[in-house]
Amino acid sequence: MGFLTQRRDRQLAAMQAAGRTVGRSLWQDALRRFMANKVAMGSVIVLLLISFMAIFAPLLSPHSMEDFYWEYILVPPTLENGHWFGTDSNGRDMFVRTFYGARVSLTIGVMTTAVALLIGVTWGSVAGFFGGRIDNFMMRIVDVLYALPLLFFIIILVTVFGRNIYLVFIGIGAVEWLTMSRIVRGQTLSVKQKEYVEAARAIGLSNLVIVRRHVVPNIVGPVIVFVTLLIPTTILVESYLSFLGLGVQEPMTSWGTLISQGAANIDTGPWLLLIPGTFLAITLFCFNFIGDGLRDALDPEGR
Amino acid sequence: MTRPLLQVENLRVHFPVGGGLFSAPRMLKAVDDVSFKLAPGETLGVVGESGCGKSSLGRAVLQLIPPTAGRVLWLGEDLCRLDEDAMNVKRSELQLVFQDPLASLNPRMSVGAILREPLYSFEPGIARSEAEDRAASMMRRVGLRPEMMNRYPNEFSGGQCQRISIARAMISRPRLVICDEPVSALDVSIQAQIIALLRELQAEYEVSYIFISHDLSVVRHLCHRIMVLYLGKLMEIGPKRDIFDTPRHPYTQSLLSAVPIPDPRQARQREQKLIEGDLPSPLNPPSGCVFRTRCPHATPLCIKAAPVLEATGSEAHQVACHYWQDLSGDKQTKTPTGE
Amino acid sequence: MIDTPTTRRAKHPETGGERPAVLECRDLSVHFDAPDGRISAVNGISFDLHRGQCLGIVGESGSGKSQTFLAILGLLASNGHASGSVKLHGEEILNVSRRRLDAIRGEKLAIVFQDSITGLTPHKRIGEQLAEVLTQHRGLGRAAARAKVLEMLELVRIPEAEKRFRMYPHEFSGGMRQRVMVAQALLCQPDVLIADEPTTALDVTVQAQILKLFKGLADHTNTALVMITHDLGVVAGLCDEVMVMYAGRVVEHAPVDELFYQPRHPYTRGLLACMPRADRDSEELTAIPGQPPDLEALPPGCAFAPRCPQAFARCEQERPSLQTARPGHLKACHLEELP
Repeated sequence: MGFLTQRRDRQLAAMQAAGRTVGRSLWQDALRRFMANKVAMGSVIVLLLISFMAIFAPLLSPHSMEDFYWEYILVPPTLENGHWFGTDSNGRDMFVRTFYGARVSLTIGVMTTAVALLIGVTWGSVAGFFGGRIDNFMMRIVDVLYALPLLFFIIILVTVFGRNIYLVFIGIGAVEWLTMSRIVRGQTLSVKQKEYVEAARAIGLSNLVIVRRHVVPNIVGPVIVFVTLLIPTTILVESYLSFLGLGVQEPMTSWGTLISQGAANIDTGPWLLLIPGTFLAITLFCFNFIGDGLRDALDPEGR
Repeated sequence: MTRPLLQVENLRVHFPVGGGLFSAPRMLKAVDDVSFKLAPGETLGVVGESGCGKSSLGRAVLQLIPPTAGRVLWLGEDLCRLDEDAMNVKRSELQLVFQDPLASLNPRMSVGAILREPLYSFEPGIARSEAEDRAASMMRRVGLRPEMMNRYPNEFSGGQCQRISIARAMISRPRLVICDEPVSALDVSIQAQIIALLRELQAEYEVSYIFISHDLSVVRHLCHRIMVLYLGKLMEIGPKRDIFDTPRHPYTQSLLSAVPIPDPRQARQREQKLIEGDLPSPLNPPSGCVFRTRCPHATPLCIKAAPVLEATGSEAHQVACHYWQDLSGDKQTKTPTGE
Repeated sequence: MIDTPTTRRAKHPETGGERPAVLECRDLSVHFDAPDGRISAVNGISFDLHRGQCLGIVGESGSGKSQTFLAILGLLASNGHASGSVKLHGEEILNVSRRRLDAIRGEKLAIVFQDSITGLTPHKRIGEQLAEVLTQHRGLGRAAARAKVLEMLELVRIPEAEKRFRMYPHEFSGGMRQRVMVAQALLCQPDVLIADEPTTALDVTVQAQILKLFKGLADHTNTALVMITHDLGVVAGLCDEVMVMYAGRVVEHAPVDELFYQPRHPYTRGLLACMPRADRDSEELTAIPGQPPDLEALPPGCAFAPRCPQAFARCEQERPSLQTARPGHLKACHLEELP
């Protein structure tokens, strides 16, 4: 009911009574609320740790990606011989491979999302801001692309171009930007209706300046939330592509590839499945918690 | 009469509505053949119910929505013919204040940035320090402490946001400000503050207002002349005194008699001339006189022919009704005059 | 019994006998648990409501006028808590079980909100929706329910009720929907009808129609009406008695004529002085200075003191209690007599 807005008015008056002269922007407010969210902050820390390990673990371990230890085949995790996560059926160190896989999986997640973000935001905001025929045309293209099944698309790419990590980028990115562009378009349409955009026109600003200064900053919130939720989706998509043998190729590895190999050895070496699986699950959880936290922080009315 | 600041001639704003790939859209006539003049320093009230086209009229004058036909002469120059760049230069003279105080301010910009933006736009190359000084003095002028410049809109109350919005409109020293329901969203006690501010600024800057409102009480208090719109058509226009004391159009009469009066004895005594029914769909307006479906005096003539605007006793007071002379002949329900 | 204007008037004018109140509210308070502490929205409200009486509740945003009645109806937000006592025909209804409340709300207490569309299901015909209330709450047969609904639709002056009966909510205009809501509220012949800003979203001419409808209610039914509004004009024409609220407390409670012609509280006087009027030329409006009250940081004394032109030292330290200014007229102000 009107009570929330009334409350807002009153909170403001309180702040003014306190005589602060330095304002607190919505971003600062959101940051404060996010920092207060323990689950989300915990997820950030865990993710930072995993990323740190992904970058430095292969350097910290005495073993390397390519080393085969014939004397240690399918050794369970132990502290004694330096194979902390055990070894696989080829005698390769799982600790290094897990974090090497993390490196690939996270990179794919972030890079693909970045591609989707770039295309999606540009496409969606142009369609939404200009509207009319342009909007109609651009969104029909999106509709057509939506109809393309992802797996089918990637199988075609792979059969034509051969297995290649960049194809995975392109394949997933080409599909994920569609949703992004729809979200951005919707947000742009609603921001465009706002009176401050009209006020910006009334002071003679050009379209470009209006989009940059008045539209984009006000759609960033939902986009950030979507991005944090898109990263785990692409990681997951990559892992099932790899699981199906369509993704990353040996000797390179990713969590999906590791899980696939682990599944094949589930009787003899269950840790081969459990360890990368656990890391994947934790990462997905963390991104989702962060996404939820951001959504709550950026949209306080939704609480 | 002094040379008009603004002269609007036969302005029409039509919007296409609906219409898919294969069907032609229907035309919504938001503003249909409206003409008026505005003198420097004058306040023209635009009155009407929702859907009467009063907001579209204001935006079409500012070229924020393109007029379908007609001319908008600003000091003799037709704004509809200007290209975008030339119009943007003119915009420093024509500004706008909105109804929803919070929605009219970008939540991501500090108040200082909001107030400096018009300066940077209209006076490219202005020094930052000068822009800051002018923003600060404008804030003081509208009754806010300049120290609050670094705060964000969400930290202000509705009334304060409206002051900021007014400051943004006034900072380029416009000669015309279109106020679109600027006090409707505010609490009663805050409304009076904003009305007083608008009056002070008018006296100080000699600015003209087009004051769009559904609230006849506020309009009576603030405006010199009043224009009554119904379904995009001009029903009656005239000096405030004429409109309130001797309304000629049956619609104006019923509008006036529908306004609640904060005076119990008079409220009990007054005889209300209420009109029945609701506004017809603007997409499918009645033929002839658009008001005829709710008019108690409608005749077959009203169905056939749309009345044209004609002068009543004085040239300034014009009404679009076939029967205004007959209607003013019978005992006029003069709105009770309190004295 | 405490001394409220209603208890004073409780003697029936003709029979001279005691009339029991339909609704007795004693010391009602509402607070909300917010993340950063407890906000008290309503403090110690008491009043009596009699059959056929119309009580106006006037206040600005944050005055607690709506929360008071949402609490009575058990419709507070989940973080809201009510305390005190509210008796309907002598039966305590505050904080009773959900089932009991549902029964009471259906039959004895009804409410009409500002945004009427939310009260109707979009995919069901109007007639079915209204008849459902009767078949379920009253156990009426379908034919009987239908007849009753038609009767009510006619009472609220919906033209062609038979035809409207089979239409969907979206086919109704705003004014028409609000009438349907009133009809729905009246279906079970409630003892008390609470109208929370029922005309705020409507146009002036439609508002006048709806207000006329409310006025006629007293003649056709014996329902007591509570009109919650920010508009003193609405109250003047409709209510017998008015309660003015500010920052969650009643500041003045008086019969309507006394409140308008001899207001005893500076806030009431301020409200009356800052309202422009459509029926006469008003001199300069005297705005109430300052901002609306902040419920989270109320001063220890009178909440209105920071904006009051007549505040003195005592006002800032000691909160004035609601006292009898004249028989039947209560005020919460330290000033003995206003100049």
